[in-house]
Amino acid sequence: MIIGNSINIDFSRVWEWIPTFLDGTIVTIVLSLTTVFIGSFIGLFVVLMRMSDFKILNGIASLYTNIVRGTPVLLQLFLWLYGFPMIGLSLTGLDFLGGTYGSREFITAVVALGINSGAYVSEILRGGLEAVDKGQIEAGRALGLSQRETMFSVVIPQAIRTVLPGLGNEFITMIKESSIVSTVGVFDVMYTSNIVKSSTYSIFEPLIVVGVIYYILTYSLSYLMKRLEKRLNTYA
Amino acid sequence: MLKIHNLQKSYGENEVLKGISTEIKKGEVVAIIGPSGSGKSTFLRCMNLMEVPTGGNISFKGQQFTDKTLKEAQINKLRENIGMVFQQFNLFPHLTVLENIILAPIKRNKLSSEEAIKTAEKLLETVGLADKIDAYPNNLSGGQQQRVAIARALAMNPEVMLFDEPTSALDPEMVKEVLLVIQDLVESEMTIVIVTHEMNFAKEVATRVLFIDEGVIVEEGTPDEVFNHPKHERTKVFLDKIDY
Repeated sequence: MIIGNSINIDFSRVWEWIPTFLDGTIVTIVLSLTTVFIGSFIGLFVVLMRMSDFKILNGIASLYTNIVRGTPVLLQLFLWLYGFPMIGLSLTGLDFLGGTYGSREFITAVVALGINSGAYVSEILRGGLEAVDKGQIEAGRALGLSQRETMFSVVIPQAIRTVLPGLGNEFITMIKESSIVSTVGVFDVMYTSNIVKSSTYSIFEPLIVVGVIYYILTYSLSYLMKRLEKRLNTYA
Repeated sequence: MLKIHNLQKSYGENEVLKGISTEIKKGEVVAIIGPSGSGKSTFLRCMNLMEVPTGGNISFKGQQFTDKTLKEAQINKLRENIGMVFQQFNLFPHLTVLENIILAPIKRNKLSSEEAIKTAEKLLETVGLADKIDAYPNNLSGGQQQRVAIARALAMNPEVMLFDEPTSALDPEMVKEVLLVIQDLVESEMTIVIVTHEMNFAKEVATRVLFIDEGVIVEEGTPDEVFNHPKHERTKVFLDKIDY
């Protein structure tokens, strides 16, 4: 390995590209936020299916989580974007959202990543619900509360505290994993390093800038999650 | 009030209750004693369907409620009238003492929120915890938590109270404060069924004692009969073994 060879490291060359990096950062944030949002909804729905007494719903839900968790997210993205359209299942762009957010690639990425995230979120939620002491459910039911009332007044509020770290991690994972959308031409922060590379012929500097941006995003997010957990733990 | 006929409960191969019949009459204080694993807690938990019996039946004020066709709503209705206090208190840790007590009466439309709060204040007064109304369960001692749990069950204004070893999880110095609260209930003529290891307490407050072993009622009678003149060998052996 040769260190300190002829290449000069010079960050001033990428300095003027900062606005581009920031644009990409915003896309990454929007993408992972919407993904986690959609993923949470799917996750909640799936966990309710898994906990229901109907065998069919149960089966569908576990098939979904197993397939999603058992295949690479890159494959899932390619399937949604290039595979499914071949059998007539294709998502269209939404023009009113603009060129970046309304593009077919972006919309498909949101759907593919959202469905992916939903499987992980459902497992996190299931873990949280199952961690609530069985005595809590008994106490609710013994007071005459219905299964539903016990779920919403007793179990879920306690489960939220346990799932919060897991959900935070999922969000952090999504910020990093969403970088794969750069491979299909979505203008996220990872993609900006390509743009800058081809314009400045620098390889090292844009990658470092992008890395720092990802690190700042994930670090501040985990800091926020820690604060939130502390606030929610007042009763413990 | 509560009629139990030939009650059976098995977990797979394991037969826990082998046909128990008895009747709990209004105003009675029934103490259930017996060795651990004898099925006494299971028996108590069948009375409000926390455990679903595998045979026999139970009726509450004439209404059968072991029938499998019974709707969830009807079971909930019955449970509203049968209060239960657990060994592990099972207070809701995310709610304050007040919120613990008013949750069910408001959810089940028994009381308006103002009435529920008033009831809660009164009940906390009687269990001696009026000053803890805004505390969270985790900031209370075990004895205090159990007293709150009793208040919570009473807030539904039940007709029967079931106690499942209410003092077994407590440090010794806290047993008395809980027993005193139960004693107050006895004096207010509440119908009570209590599974307990506190023999002196059972002797003192019970109107009837059931000795259960290996899933059957071995002996039953007044405290004097069961504790001082046990007829069965198994009762004698059990009472000899424990120190009270």
